[in-house]
Amino acid sequence: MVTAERFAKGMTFNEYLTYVGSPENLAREAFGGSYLPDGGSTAGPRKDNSAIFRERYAKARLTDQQASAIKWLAAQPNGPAKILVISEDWSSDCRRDVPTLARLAETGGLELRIFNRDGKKILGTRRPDATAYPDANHDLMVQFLKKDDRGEWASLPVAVIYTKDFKELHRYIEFPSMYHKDLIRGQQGTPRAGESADQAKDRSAKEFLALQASPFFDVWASAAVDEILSALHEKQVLEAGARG
Amino acid sequence: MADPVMSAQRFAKGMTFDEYVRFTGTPENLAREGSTLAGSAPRRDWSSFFRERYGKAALSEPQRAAIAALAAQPGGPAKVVVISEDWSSDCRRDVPYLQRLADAGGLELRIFNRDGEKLLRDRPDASTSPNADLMQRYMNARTDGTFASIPVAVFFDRDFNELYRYVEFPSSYHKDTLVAKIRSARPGETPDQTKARGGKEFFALFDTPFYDVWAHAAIAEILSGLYERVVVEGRRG
Repeated sequence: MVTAERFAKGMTFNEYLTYVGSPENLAREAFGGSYLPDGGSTAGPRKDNSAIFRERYAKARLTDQQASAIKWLAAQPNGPAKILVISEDWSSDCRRDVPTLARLAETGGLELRIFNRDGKKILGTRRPDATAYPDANHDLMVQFLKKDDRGEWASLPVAVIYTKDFKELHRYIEFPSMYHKDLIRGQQGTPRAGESADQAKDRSAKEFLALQASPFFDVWASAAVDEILSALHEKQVLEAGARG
Repeated sequence: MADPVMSAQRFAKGMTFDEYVRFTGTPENLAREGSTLAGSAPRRDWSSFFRERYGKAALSEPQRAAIAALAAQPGGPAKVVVISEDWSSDCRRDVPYLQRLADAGGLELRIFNRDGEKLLRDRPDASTSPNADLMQRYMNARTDGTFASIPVAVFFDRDFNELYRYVEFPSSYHKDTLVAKIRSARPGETPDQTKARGGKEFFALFDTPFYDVWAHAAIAEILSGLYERVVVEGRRG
């Protein structure tokens, strides 16, 4: 459950842009690049990603039909009105999607609020724990875990779309279904003939950064919007019949 | 290894998009048996619809850049084989966008009819359709059976090695769920009223922005599939 009061505590996209570059944010632990045995994250230093968010927002565009679709949906009775986003700026998936989600919200006249997942410490256990991390938003995160055949994950970003009365319509988690990230990252991380483990790690990190700057990252950000719009439309069609 | 059904000679027998659009309006095409959701039906002339839809269909700038980058890779996409019938809303949705994708990547695209004079009723049959061998190769295997779903778009490198195939609709368009809902009886409706309303609502869907959202999603799926095949697997092998 998310209440109007809880939602109001999140940051607008503009506030988030400022926050990402602030000393307060940069003092927080970031993801260290590897996982502990139970699935918790190792910690590392945070870099200032605010320029990437600003640039991606500046060039993020909905297609004309995506814009018409979100406006139509928002005008329906019980249509989408609020988007709750959980984000951490060290996540490439958040840097890819959050600026486009902001465009979706502003085009449809939806209110969007962003929440950090973590507090000062990175989530060091698999499961979010509001008692162990009182300065985090784990009360929210624990409601929107990604479930797959290997278990539950505190994956980011999370975008939960609600009616004006906070009835949940759809939740989008981490990346669009066509972006097979594990397969792509697995291939990048596999040592090539003659490479040492360190060389493979450096090359893989470089290749991943290049992918993030390639048109495919924007194709996936836009595909995430297609998925969200399709799901919201389906909900309208299925529930319109139920009401009528 | 040579592809079992596709070659330069066979590819050349397909229609370009312009030829296809003209063909859909010809007496020859209009005399062929068509189809609706309910079964066999006379064919309508969809040629101006296809032409106008192509005129309006726009890939996003990142989609254009992505297909150009893929086409420039060694072993990248160079040819697209499309199987289409104009009575199919899925074909009308996607084929104009597929041509835009081919335009942006400098790919050659050729379109083949699925059927001959008669509507395909069971398995593709070479005695009734000259392209039954193509359809047979690209059948849609689902958990509930194997279907001659269209459109089919198969991407090849310039030597006709298959890279990726796209079938029917993007995964975010849950057509069966939507159609079942739209065509289910409302309280007080006679079966004929349900059928008439359902048909109308299904067609109304194609006038909404979601029709283009799905076409756009189909292009993103194709680009992702080609990226995996050409860039990810290409590096491995």
